[in-house]
Amino acid sequence: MIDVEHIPSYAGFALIGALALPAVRNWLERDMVLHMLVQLPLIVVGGMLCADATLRRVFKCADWNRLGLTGFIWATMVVVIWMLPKSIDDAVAKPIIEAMKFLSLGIAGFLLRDALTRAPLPLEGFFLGNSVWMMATVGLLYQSSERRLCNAYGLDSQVATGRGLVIFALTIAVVWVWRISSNASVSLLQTLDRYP
Amino acid sequence: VNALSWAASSLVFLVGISLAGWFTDGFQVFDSETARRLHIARTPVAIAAFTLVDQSGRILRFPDDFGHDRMLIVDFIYTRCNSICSVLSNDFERLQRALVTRELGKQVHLVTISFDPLHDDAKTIASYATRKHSNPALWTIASLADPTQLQAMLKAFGIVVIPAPFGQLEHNAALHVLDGQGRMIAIYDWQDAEIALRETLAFAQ
Repeated sequence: MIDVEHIPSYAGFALIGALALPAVRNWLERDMVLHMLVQLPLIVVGGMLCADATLRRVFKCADWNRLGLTGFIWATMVVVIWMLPKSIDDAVAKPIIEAMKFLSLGIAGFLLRDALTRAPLPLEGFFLGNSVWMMATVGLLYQSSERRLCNAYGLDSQVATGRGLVIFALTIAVVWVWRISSNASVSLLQTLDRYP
Repeated sequence: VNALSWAASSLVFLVGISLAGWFTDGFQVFDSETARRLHIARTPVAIAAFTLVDQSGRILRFPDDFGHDRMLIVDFIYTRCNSICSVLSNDFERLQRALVTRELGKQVHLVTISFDPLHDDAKTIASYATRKHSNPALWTIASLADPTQLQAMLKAFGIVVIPAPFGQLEHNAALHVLDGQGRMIAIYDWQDAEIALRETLAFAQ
């Protein structure tokens, strides 16, 4: 029996499973832009879809991810790790590292969704802000480096990825600002209410 | 925030830091080429044998047939290359001149190996060698005698070849120094041929 309310969660598992298929992996990893700006975000999205209310209750997220601190710390660190050229190279070359990539990013997506539902705005702003500037900085480095940083990818693809990372970072910033400005006063009051 | 949340946050932070530290070799290296060089400098790697055919058409077993008392400086090319490989070979031509003028032929030998064995057969290698004025006594230019050994050879050296636009190939170009026992002991930037030669001589002492 398939429960309608669990369909997004199933879809999340299906998405990650599909991304993990060798053919799909090879296709997305043949180019650095597809690898870093399509595959990695999709794994995170898959993790987010998985994190429906039932599963979050099963894992008792409310107990150990209060304020979303655990989720934000994990997600930020994982995002940094998978932006390093060496990690990207290793993921392509070594199956164990590739498995760790899928697992860590999937969990990051799961915890991130849980964190976003209960984090106070300042905390959310702090972690998202950090991730945004780090992503943009790495993007600028990828664009300015005259050396190939990944053995698995060429210089053109590296520069394109750098541009993509900056655009991706700016998009997150814009979406977040739009999100808070549409209910800023409410969120702030809720924050003060909940955490005096 | 309750105690459980603090514990979970701290745990997650520690796991993340450990992972990052492990991936970057203690926050020292951020790209795999630097990691490869650092690794070789710390722990020399014995290169497993493979068979080459050189510019004179001789079959040579690498590294056994290259003399046990000579250091080797090895680089990788393919003859169709119209960018970095030609620079590499020009640098080797200069190194060869240095070996002649400083009479270092007994101590150091240069080896250029093609990673495109299907295209670079004995004849192509021979004409390439003539263009580069190589002297087989000082500078071996060779291709794999058995192309099926290509992946094993690239893996042994840590070379990654990827396709590039216009049918070209791209690889992590570098100069690989092997000692008399056929162990790779150092890797240098392809721009640093002079430094590589100087330090290879220092290793030989």
